[in-house]
Amino acid sequence: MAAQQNNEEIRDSLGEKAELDYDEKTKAGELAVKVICLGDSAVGKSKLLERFLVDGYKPQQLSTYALTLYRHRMTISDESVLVDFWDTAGQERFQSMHASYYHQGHACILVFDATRKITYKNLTTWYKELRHHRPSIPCFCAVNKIDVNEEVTQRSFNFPAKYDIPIYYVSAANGTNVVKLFTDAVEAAIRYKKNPSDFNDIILEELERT
Amino acid sequence: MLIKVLGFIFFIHMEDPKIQPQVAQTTAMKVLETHQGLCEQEELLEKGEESPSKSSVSSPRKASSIKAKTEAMMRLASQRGVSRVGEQERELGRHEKFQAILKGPNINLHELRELSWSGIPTSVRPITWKILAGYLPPNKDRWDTIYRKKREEYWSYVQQYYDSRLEEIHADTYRQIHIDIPRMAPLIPLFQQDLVQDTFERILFIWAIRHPASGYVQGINDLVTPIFVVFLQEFLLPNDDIDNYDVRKLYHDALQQIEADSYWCLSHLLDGIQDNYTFAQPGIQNKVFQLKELIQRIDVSLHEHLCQHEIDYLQFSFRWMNNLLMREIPLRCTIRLWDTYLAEKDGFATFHLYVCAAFLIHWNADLLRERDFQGLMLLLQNLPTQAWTDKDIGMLLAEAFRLKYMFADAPNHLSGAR
Repeated sequence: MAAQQNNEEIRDSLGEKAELDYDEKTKAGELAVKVICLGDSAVGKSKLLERFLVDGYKPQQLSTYALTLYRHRMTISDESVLVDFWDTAGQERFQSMHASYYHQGHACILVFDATRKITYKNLTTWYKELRHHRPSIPCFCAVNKIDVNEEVTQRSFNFPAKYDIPIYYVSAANGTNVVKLFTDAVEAAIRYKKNPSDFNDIILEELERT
Repeated sequence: MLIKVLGFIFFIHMEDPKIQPQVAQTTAMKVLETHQGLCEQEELLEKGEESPSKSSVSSPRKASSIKAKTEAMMRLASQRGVSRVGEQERELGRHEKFQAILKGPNINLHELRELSWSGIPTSVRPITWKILAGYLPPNKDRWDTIYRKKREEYWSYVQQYYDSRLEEIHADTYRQIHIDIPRMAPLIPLFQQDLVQDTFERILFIWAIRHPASGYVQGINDLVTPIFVVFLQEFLLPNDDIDNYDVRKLYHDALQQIEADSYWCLSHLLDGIQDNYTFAQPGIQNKVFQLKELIQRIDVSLHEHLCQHEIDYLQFSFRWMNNLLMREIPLRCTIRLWDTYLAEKDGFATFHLYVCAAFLIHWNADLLRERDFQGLMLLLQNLPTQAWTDKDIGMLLAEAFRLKYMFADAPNHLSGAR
C-alpha cells in the first residue's frame, strides 16, 4: 500500500515538475522545440538521430535506457531554432517514463523497422498513447532499414494512410531521407508551436496549468 | 571497527544536517583513511598462509604463484595497467588477509563482509563474490557438492527450457534479449564473440522465464557483465588481456562453469531488487522519489537549482536505478562498487540509493554552473567518469555510508524536510 501511495505522489510531482519552458522563447530569444522519437526497441531511433546530428553512422549502437536528450541548433527560414530531440527507450516495461516523454512535445516521429513486422503492428499502440497525451501535434512515420529490405519502398502501409500521417522511407545506415525526415519534423514542430491548431490541445494545456 | 567509524561520522555531523559538499568530501576522505588504517593495523597482526584455499572444482591453475597471479589480476582490474608499487603491496597484504578468512573450514561471514566493504583484491574476488552473493555457503566442505548440484541444475534448465525461446509465448522475450546483447558493450571485443553472446542469451532467457513476474527487462543484461568478467578473470593467464580475450582458449567446461555460476549469482542479486523490474517498476519509482527527498534534505541549493530548471529526477536517475549506475561509470568501477554492495546488507537496493545521492552531489559544482534545462540534462547523462578509479568509488561509498547512517534508520529525519 505504502508503495502505491508513493507512486501516486511521484506522478503528481511529475505533472508539476516536468513542465518545461518549451512554450516560451529561450533567453536568447530563440525558438525552442521538442521532437520525440518513438517506436519499439532496436528499430533504429538512436541511429537515425545519430545520422542526422553528426552525419556519422556507427554500425554498433548502445541500447537507450529511459531517455537520451540531444540538443541541436538549426536555421529554419532564416530563424535560429533550438531543437531538443528526445530519444526514448522502446521496451514496453518502461511505460512509467512515458508521460515525461510526451510532455510539451511539438512533433513526434514514429519509427518502425522494415525487417520486423511486429514493430509496424505496434505503431498503433504507440500512436494511441501519443494521442492520449498530445492530441494534435504533428506526427511522422519513418520506415527504417530500407537498405536491408528494399522492396518495402514499393509497399504502401495502412497505418499511416488511416491516420493521415506522412511516411518516410529511410535508412540510418546509408542516410537515405534522414535529413528530410528530421527537417520536415522540425518545421512542423515550429508551425505547431507558433499556432497550435487544435483547440482541444490548448484547452488541455490550460487545464494542466491550473 | 565499523562502530568506530560510525561514531566518528556521527560526532562530526550530528548538529548540522545540511552539509557543505567540501566538508562532506573531507569527511569521506577521513572515513576512508580511518577504515584503511584500521585494516592495515590488523594486517600487521596476522600473516596469511601462502596457499590457495579454493575448491578443486573452481581453481583452474593452481600452479601459478599467488604473487604473479595477484599482480596479473591487478592489471586486469585496472584494465589499463595503471597501478603503482605501493598499491600492489597493499593489495598483496589485503589478499593475505582475505586468505586468512577464506582458509577455515567455516568462513566467518561477518568478518568477510567487513573486510570486503573496502574492496576485494582481484585474486580472491571470484570466490568472495560467490560467498557474499549467497551462492556458496560458509561451510567449505559443501562447496564441491553445491558446485556440482547447481551447475547440473542450471544446465538441466537450459535443456528443459532453452528450446522454447522460439515458441510464440517466449518469442518476445527472446527477441528482446537477442537484440540487446550485441548492443551492450559494442566496443569491447570480448562481448562480441558468439560464444560469449550465446552464454549471455542463455543466462538471461532462463532467468526471465523462471521469473515471470518481471521477465526480461532491458538493463538486466548489463548486470550480468560484472559477474561474468569477474568469474572469467579467474581462468586467465597473467598476461591475458580480458577485453580481447578469446574464450575459445578456455578449457571445454570452464565456460560452462562460469555460465552456471554467473546465472546463480545473478539470480541472488536480482532477488534483492526484483521490484525494480516488475510491472510499472515500483522499486525504481520509489527510489527516484526517495533520491529526490534525500537531495532536498542534504543539498538544498542543488535541489532548487534542478527544480528551477525543471529537471525531473526521473529523467536522469531512472537509468541510475535501472542499470545500477553501470551506464554512468566504467566497468572496473562497477566491479569495485559491487564489492561493497555485496558486503552491505541490502546493498543493491537501499544502499544503492545512498550511492546515487552521493553521486549526484559529487557533481554539485558542475551542475550549478549549468544555466538551462538542456545543459543540465546533457551533463547529467554524460557525467565525466571515464578516468575514475577505485579511489573515486571509495570516496563515493564513504559519502553514501555517511548519508545512510544519517537517514536510513531515522525516517523522521528525512520526512522533516517536507
